[in-house]
Amino acid sequence: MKAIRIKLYQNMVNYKIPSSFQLKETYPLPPYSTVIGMVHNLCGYKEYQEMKISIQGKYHSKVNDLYTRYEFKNGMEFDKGRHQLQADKFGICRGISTVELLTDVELLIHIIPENQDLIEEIKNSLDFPKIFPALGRWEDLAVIGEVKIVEIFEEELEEDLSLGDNYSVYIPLKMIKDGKIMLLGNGNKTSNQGTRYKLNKNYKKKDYGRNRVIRKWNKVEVVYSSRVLAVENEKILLDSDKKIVFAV
Amino acid sequence: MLYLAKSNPRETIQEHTDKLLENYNILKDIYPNLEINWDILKLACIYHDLGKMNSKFQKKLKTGKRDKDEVAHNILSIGFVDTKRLKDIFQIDEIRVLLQAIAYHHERGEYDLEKFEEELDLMKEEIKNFVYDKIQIESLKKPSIKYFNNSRIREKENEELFYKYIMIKGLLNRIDYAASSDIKVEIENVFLNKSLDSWREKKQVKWNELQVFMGKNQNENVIVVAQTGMGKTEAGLRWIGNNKGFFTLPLKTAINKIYERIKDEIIEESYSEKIGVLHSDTYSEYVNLNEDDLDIENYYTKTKQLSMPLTISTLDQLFNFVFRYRGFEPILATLSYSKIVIDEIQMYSYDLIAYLVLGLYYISRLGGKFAILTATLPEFLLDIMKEEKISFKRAERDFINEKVRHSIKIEEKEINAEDIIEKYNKNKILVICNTVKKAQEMYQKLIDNNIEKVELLHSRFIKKDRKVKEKRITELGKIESKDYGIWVSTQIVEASLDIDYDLLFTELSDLNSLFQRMGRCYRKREFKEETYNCFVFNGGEKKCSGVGQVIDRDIFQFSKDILKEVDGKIDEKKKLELINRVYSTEKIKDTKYYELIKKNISYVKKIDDYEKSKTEVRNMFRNIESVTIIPKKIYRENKIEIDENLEILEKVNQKDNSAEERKALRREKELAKIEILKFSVSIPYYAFKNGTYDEMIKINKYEILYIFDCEYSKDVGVSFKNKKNKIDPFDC
Repeated sequence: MKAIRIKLYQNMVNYKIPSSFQLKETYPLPPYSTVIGMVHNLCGYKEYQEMKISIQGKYHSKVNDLYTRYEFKNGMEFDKGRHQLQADKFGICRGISTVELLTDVELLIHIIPENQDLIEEIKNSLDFPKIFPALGRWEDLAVIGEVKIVEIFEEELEEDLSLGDNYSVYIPLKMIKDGKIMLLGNGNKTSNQGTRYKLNKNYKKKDYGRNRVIRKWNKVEVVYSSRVLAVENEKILLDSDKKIVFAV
Repeated sequence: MLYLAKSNPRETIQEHTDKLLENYNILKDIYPNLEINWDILKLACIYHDLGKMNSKFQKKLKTGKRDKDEVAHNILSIGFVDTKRLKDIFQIDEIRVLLQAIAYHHERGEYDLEKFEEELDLMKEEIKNFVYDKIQIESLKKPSIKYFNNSRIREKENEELFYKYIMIKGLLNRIDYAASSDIKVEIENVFLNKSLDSWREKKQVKWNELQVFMGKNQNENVIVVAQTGMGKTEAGLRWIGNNKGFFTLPLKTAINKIYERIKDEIIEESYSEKIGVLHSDTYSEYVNLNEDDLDIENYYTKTKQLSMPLTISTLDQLFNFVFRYRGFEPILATLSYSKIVIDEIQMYSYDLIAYLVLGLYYISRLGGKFAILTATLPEFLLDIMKEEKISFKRAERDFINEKVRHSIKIEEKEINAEDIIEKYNKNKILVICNTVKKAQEMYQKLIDNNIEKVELLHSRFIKKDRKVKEKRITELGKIESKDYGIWVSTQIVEASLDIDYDLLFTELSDLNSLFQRMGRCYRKREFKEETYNCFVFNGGEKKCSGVGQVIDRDIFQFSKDILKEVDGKIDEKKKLELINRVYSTEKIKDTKYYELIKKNISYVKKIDDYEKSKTEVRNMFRNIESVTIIPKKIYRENKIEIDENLEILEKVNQKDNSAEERKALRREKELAKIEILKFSVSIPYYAFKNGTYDEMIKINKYEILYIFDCEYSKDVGVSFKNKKNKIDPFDC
């Protein structure tokens, strides 16, 4: 099995947590849906191509910035006296709010398309993008460093294997339950390790009739952590450079 | 090349480890049936100090300076364990226990993977030079995360594994400490049955029913109600038999007395191999024995390390493990193969009751046994223990005799001097008040009425005076004494004083404590007259002193209500029946007292394993709300003596002092400390805060004495200038 492995860099970026509005919070790494969206966009796919993704990386720090916030209220009529934009007879409130930004993000992403015939095509679209690549918000440019086709295989480890480079990673919960991946504790302090997220991956459209089509998201349970080791004597997915693949 | 484990005296890692293995064998010989994996414990002993091989540690031993990059040896030692080989012999969980026990055998150091691996690399050179017949070191390796993940084994995650870990880690600690201080990890109890038998023959008595019962039920957790004077101490010892035993009591004075009695009457010879006394002043107690041949240092170490076959102890020395603080394992591991007698349970406050219940749960869970021997047993306590899933055998009957010793008169009024004076008639009278303040008032009134032979005893006398007073109250309280007099006191006489007075005048506190107080009047005599010998003042319309603070308001009220049906003679059976009615779960469960016990239990349970340090727990456990002072006046009068002793305390060991000289100095210092403390008294914290002090004396790193500005007299004790204070719950 083959995968396309991308190394990319972003200067300042927000991977928005869906339910955060007043302050746009960010995930510590891009969620699967965001990565899948970027790949589909660059390749020009109009239909979902089944693919497995593994995401690891790091960021330097987190800052807050202002952004222009538009508020749409159902049936809000335009009111001249208020700070609004006019859209026909409706009014859109405009104001400021805050967004969290990660700085100096470095990512290592594995893309494993189910249809392995797409490998070359995807690599090509990433090497020579038709439009500027962005990950996160549209203005969050992604500087693609390396695109490499790698072989993916299962290997029984001689000894524990770490991520290296101080990377953090989304670990699919199953890998922890199966005992393939373990987290390093922090001594006496607490028994809790890592942060659990339910991340969006892909969606199916569901038609509720009367023009109402809603995206039903397939969610994936993961643990986000930096103190991660693949366990000796376990069979682990690796790429040809001995990087652990956390595909989901 | 030599790798040292210790610098003073010099000892190599190999020598030290050999000593551990000797102690390992001692333990295994005495307790071959412990439910532990002996091979794992042996490996723990062999590997535990190998990390000391690293050059930074060796340099530290030579120069005394610590390298800031040093990785703690306990952490480094786990790099030596050859998990590749062990995994064919042991299960993963067993190897986990082994590595955890080694890594945390000291509570220091951090497991920083990078630094750890760097240090291991540096040591690869050292292992080539390290020769030891017990172990072949092939390589060094960071253990896989499946064996050691730097996260402790916790009770909530895996109860069984947690207990396994406690045993291995706790016993490794015990063995290690013993090897370091050149004592045996355990001294086997092979004498107690024999000692008891020869004591019985000498006294020419038969075992009474209680003692027979305890002898029969040596293998059970038992709860027994037995009246004072039924020989509870001997009964407890018979239950312990030839096993490792602990005897817990609430008060240090009581503990010292029982210790001395068992030592002198039952054990007789070579007691320093058989029985120890364990509380915060163990050392003083041993110095006070005044025996020239005794190696105090060695005896003290054996006691502190829990190596003695029989130990008389306070609850706080043993039961603070319930907080599961960092380093709690040795105590619980030891108790898991011991038998623990709990005496005078009614004396414990709500927080100690909570710790006791939790402690008994863990001890019985790990295989230890307990016996609760008590004069009165609050029923609700049994229910709490059942709720906590502690199994025990309750003796079918209570061990009491038929003798009627008391006749109660309930007085619907406050305690007062007139009633006492009226009944004085050259009797021996004991007056017990609920608070020190009330006792001082009563004393003053009696003195103002020119009554002869009135004396006062409470907790606020300096040690020296209190000791004299305790002796005098005991002298008068002896049956043989033909003298008479009035002693005004507080609940401090409830336990530990073996006295027998003719008449008791007491404020009502609660039923339990009332019956304890009555135990000081007609202690063993039968009361045959048609009059009364106990006068209980229930305050009438008012409350007695201390109610609501020292004494639970509801329980006071229950006691007051139920006593309305009592007038005249009362036997032991009736007393127990009343107790059962007042302290039934049904009745008690809505009181604040009960709520506090339950809250405390769930609070302690909620504390995370290893969350707290030992020091934190020590302070929480004792709930210390008092300050030790020397009254200003006393200080001035005795300044020369105090200063002389302070000079001794300031002495330090010279580098070239021999071990003998060091021991002698410690003993000298301890004596000096005892001399100074004779002038001290502890007072409630609130009183201390409201007063002023001129200076303070430093006894040692931890103990400070304040020269406090307060009134003091030999007759009345400490009285405070500031009177507006509330009463403290521990003021008695």
